[in-house]
Amino acid sequence: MKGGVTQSMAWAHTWLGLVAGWMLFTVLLSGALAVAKPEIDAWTRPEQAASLAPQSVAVQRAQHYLAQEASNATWWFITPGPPGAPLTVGWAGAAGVGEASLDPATGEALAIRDSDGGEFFADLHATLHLPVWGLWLVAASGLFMLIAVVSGTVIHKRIFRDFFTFRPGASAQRAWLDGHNVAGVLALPFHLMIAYTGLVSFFWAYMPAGIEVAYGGDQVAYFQESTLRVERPEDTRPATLASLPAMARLTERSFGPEAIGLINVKNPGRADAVVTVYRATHDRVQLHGERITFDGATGRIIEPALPAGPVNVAYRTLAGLHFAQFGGGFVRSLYVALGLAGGIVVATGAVLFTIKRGDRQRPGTRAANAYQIIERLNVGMIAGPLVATGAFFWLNRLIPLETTERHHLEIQGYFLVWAGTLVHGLMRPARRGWIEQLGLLSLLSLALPLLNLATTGDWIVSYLERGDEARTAVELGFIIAGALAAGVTWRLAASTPTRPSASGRASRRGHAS
Amino acid sequence: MVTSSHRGGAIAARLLLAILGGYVVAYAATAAFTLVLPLQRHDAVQAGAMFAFPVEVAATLWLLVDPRFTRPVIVLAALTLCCVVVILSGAR
Repeated sequence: MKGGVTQSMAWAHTWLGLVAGWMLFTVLLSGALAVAKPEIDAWTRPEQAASLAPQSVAVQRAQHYLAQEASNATWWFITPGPPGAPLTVGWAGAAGVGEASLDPATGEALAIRDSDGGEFFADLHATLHLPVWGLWLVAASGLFMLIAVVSGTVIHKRIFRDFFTFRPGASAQRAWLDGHNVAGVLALPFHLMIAYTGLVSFFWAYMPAGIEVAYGGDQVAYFQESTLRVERPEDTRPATLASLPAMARLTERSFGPEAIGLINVKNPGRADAVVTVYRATHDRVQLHGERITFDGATGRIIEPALPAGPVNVAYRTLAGLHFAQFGGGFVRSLYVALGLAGGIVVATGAVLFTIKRGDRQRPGTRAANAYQIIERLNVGMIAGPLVATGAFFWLNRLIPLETTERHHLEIQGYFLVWAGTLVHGLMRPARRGWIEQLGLLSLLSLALPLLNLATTGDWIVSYLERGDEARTAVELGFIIAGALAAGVTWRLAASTPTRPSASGRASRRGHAS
Repeated sequence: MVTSSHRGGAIAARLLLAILGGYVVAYAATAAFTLVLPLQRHDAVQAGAMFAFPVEVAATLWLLVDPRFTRPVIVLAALTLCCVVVILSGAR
């Protein structure tokens, strides 16, 4: 019976892996890139050079700018950022929504190229760049990831021995399986955590059972009650907004200096204006910091910083673990590495599926043809998004700055290149497809610092000299990605292209079939 | 078990049943759990969200791997029925 359970776990692992693997790979890759959003934002907007200014000055500049540009809006958002970061302001109202990056010292709008930057990867990660039902697909891949981790662990009775076993020189299947197991076991707790916390963070979209029974399905009521505690009676008479910097200074007593994460203002020009100041979350795991709420017209505190209840703390801690806003660059780099380890587990798993099962089919049969198509789709679904990511960064430097709707072109370029890799992958024998696409990825990545030097006059060396950690980290990422892709390409090209013989196949038995 | 047979139809049917069944079980269990928790309703909703996904993983995996398919179907259907009774009787 025990062997039976292992076998059926292996069955579930294999087939759910096939169903979800390709989608999961893109979710993991874009998630790893989304974690590096601050760094990618800085690289994709090379003009962004913010000067140092204390947050109270930044808030004053923001209020001045918004009062001129968006006095009729119903919402203002101000993100002062830590010293040295740009000041971002946004607004929403009947006339539409808008956003601007300002120099915190002068309040002037920074002339920044129109690029979605890291936000594109965050969007790809959350919804696959689809409408809101994309959340369902991503949630399904998160669920499959949890099931794959649980079933994969059951299959591995020798989990610790496997961890120390990596035989890249052994047969192709052995090397892929060892790679699958090492990356899977190494990052196992992280993968359980990241899939679970991701599912919990957006539960209202695809698991609204609680909202259905407790709120009669009224999502807005749930969000109001769980986030916006302060509700004021409507008063549409015009009123001047009190000084935001003065309110910001009042929050320092609870939050400490330079610790504002976000300020939002509801109905800025009206007598019922409400200003909410949120504490920054860079030094704590919980997402959404404590907040202090002010009467916007008088500048008096309506509600001080209240301690959250234990359930809400637990919930926000899970969300915070997923969004990784704490711990700075060190924690973010760990998240990127462990997320990419997840990508490696999925990619090696997809290759293993075709090596182990495809080779068992007699050539010419319908099953053999199906496995050949899967084998070739693997190329475009795994190397494809990697090549497209490289192309996205190239387009960021190549599309002329004055182009209208420039950020759309970057994104369209990403999907066009991905579509191209799918077509190319289907037309070439799988091994040639891998070699050509990974080779292209390596060229694209390694040349990115040079392209940057040619187009902006800056590259990793000048960033290093200036102590620009964020942009140095991105260029280092390009070089590492390019070197790894070159290494795999070279190994694939050097290995013998022949299929394993029938006798060799019989003597090999993996345990993850 | 389907391990030795490679019939695509059987594999797809079992996967589909497990995925849909796991979702239904988790949905009903979460709704019932949210109702019986002695908390303010927004806290109960968030606690329910944390509870939902381990249930969904367990139910889906059981439906996938049990050699006797009827066993998880009967147990989980009974469990879902209990949850529905709780939901229908427990107006908050």
